[in-house]
Amino acid sequence: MAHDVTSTGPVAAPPPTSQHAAEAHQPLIDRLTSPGGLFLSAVMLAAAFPLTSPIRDPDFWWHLRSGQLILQRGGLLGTDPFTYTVSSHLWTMHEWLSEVMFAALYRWQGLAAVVLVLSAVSWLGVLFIFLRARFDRPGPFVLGGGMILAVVAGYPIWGPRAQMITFAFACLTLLLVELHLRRGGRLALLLLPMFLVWGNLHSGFLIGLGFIALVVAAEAVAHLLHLEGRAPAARVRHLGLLLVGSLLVCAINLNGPSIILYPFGTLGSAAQQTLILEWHSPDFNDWSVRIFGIMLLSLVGFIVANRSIRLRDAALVLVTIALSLQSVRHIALFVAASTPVWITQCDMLVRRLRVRRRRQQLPPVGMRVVSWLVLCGAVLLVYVGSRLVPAMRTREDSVFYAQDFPVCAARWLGADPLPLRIFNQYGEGGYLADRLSAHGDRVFIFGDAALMGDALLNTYGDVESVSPQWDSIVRTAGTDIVLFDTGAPLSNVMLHAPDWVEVYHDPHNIAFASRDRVASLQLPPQPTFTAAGDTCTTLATTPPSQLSQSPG
Amino acid sequence: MRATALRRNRWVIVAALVSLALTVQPFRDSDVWWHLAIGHYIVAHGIPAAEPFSFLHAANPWVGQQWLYDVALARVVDVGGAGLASLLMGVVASGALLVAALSIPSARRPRGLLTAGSLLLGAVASTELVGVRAPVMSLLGAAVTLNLLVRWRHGSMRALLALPPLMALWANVDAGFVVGIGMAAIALLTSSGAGRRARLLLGAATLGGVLATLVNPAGVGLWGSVAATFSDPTLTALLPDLQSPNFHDPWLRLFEVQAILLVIAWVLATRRDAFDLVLAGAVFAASLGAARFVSLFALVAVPQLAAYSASAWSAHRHRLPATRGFPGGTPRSRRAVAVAAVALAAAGAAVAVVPRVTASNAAQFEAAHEPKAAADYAAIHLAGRRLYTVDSWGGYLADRFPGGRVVYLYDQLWVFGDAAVQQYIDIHDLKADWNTVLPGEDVTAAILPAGGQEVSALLTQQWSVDCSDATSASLVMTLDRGASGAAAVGAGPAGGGAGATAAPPPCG
Repeated sequence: MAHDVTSTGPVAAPPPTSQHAAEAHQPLIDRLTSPGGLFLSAVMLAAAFPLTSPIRDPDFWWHLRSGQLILQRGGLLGTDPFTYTVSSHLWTMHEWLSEVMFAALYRWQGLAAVVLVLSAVSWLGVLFIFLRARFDRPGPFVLGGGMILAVVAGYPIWGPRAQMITFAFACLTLLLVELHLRRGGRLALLLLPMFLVWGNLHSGFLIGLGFIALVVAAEAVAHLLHLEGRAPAARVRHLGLLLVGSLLVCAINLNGPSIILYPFGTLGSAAQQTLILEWHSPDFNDWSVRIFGIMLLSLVGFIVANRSIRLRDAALVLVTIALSLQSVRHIALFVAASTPVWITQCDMLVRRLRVRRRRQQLPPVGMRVVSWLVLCGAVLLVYVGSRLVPAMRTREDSVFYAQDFPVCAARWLGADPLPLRIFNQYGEGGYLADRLSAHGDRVFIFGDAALMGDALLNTYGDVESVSPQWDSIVRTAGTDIVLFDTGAPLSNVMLHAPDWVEVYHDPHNIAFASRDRVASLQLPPQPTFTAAGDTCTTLATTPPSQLSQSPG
Repeated sequence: MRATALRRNRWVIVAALVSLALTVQPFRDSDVWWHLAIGHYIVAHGIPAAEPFSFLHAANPWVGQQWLYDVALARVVDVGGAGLASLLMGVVASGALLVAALSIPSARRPRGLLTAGSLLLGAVASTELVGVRAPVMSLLGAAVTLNLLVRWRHGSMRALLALPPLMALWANVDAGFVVGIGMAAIALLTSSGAGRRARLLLGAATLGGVLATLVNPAGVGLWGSVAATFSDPTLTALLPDLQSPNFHDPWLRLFEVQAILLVIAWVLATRRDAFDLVLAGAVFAASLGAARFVSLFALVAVPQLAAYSASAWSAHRHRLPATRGFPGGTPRSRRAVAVAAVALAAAGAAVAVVPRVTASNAAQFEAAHEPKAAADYAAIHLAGRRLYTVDSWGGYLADRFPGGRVVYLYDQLWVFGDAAVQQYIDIHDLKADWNTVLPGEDVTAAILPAGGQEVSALLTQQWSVDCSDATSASLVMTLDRGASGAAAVGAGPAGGGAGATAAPPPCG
């Protein structure tokens, strides 16, 4: 039960929780097979649905290729082998362990293994949120409803991607921290090996350190102000020591101790904050973001109505609200940190408002167990059959991927005998690097924005926005061919530019070469897309509205 | 105001005066120019039935809903120049914040310094959205409405008499009158403790206010045009004010700070009022969807932050570690320090405000932010030719060239309608058929931002740059079929044909 830490007298104390306390002491089988238990079980299984999809993250592909090269060479790459623009830049491979993992999984079972593992990792993160939310023993329907809201609120961010590793670890960090503050013990020592691994998987480890620091600071202030509900001082001190230990452990990294400062480069980059869509503030006119807005506003409403919140919870909520309003990608952090608070606050309000309900007589245990098995089995079956398996089976040269990535264009470019320098769309650089770098082709830019640097990002932005210097930028860089999305402003201008000639097109991409150099490039002819059953033929001959958005 | 009231509210009044340093701004909002143009037009010809400046076919009639603001603005600029308009609109914005700050019932009104601080925070949080803009008039309307509703809630039924005439005036000034109706509705819904008679009177006053808004040139059509503007995604996509706030803007982070402080104050205060919570919550939610409501939230939060912070402080000060009292000195010395601080603040505000209202500053600002030199060039060399420009500069050209229908489009988007707006998006965003838009409208001249994508696009269509203006970073481009070409912009071939890369001559 949440302790009232900011009660100011007139606020009524939460009503007795004998009902929930009684429920907490029920045998597990009774809790699971009660109506609330059935609901929660279904919710937690169904939470996997939005977390599972084929690869949509454009950065996945260069991560995959990087991992393959790391395994091949037996060490980190000092510079990038993909670009013809920044190949001299020193490369901090902060996700090297993730990349090696992707490469190993891909070698084992292709994209299917990657989709499976990343979906499982994302779901674990949701499970950690659920476990942390259970500390205050909320009612099952509030708990389940809060989890549904959280999973829907995070919809703009979910999908198999490296950031989900950070999401899961962040949720685990908060769980271990809360567990330690409430119950003590040594389980919090798991933070040390966790950060050792996290620091090599993704630079988001800084978020975990930040969360711990925030909680320690909040507890310190709570002690200073003698607020109720504060954790024992000894546990807070232990947590502070664990924070220092975790920080030191993060320095054990193939990139060296400087990895600790690496994330600040991204946060301080004006070009990244401006040019990369995920760093933009959320657009609340987009329905998928509105759910996050509803969760945010309702959480604030609950806190104001209850006027009872632990200082550490308030600190986590405030910081993650500020982060998520700044960048849509941080909505995942808000979900990680604030969902248990939302559930606790909602539960407090519901308990204050509702009449005590009669305990229902439950059916025999056998019938309940069968019901539970049938329900969970059905949800699992539907998930596996309609979501997981289709996502795993989606081939990387399928129509599904061809709608988002330059599948057909890469195939065409691969047929050129000469290595080419390709001015590409930012989000497609990773896929082209994966498909074509072994062929000797090089891209202008790909998704490691820190490696690219602000100067290149701004230069790329000038071309993408068709500034008056676009042509000279492209030529000065030594570009052989420009490959961009069909219908993009640059593409529509180049169609009418007399110095450029269209050399390739499909519904997704269009390519141009300089008129004075096209003959020397030995480009293959424009494909005719007539082979039956071929992905590119399907893409070229099917109206966009009829192309399936479903995996498979 | 009586002497005692003045003395009691001296800090708040000083804060309002200091806030002029933030609210008095040059013509930062590009919409001011078409407001000026239409204001002059109305003075000369009356309210037009149709859009009067553009050569495009406007799908909807001219609504004239802001006619009173347009005329007043035009008159002020005619009399005292842009500087006077800047000063007056700054006074309106600061006045709105002052009225809002004084909406705290005297029984709950905290110490002056706290309210003054809240007012200044509100001014800072709304800095990006005040200045010479029609929505600032709605800020004042909202502040007055808030004041009336607070008085009603504390027993003054006569305050409601002002609501209908306020709405009638407001509806002829800015579309934000809808906010006033909304505030009255919230008061009606959340004041269950008020007597039945009081609520009936508020209901009647609100209804009277709604009917009063029909006293407008557009009549009933006023509501339709307001709803259409706010709900049409084609229109809202072009107007930054109607999009979600960009929290990378440091000024908007102050809006966030204000909201967070308000929530903390609510939680820690001993008593909360449902009207306050619902009003601030609704405006905050609206602000997340449209940045233009940020200034309204800043206004609504001013009295609440002061009152609830004071309540929270009273309730929780005992938790703070005991400290020795400030060695503040004698009352006389404290008064001297206060007077000195006020004098310094006032001097600072004056130093900030005075340069902004001079004619030279206004002229410099216009030359730097609007295509003044390019328009001067066009007036001499391109007289009578249709001019394409970006929507944010369209209003300036409408003011510079009100006759002859040579202007393309400006940000009165509902009047132009979806078809014209989509056509503009096609060229501005370089959609597939961008190259057919200007020939389709027989446009052979353009004034464009130097770094704009239309420049690159038009260079591929044998357009050339006649001149450039470094001050405003603008270009004049023309398509002179058969004439000897002017210099191409100095950026290499730019896909527009080989040849000359000489820098274009200056427009001035």
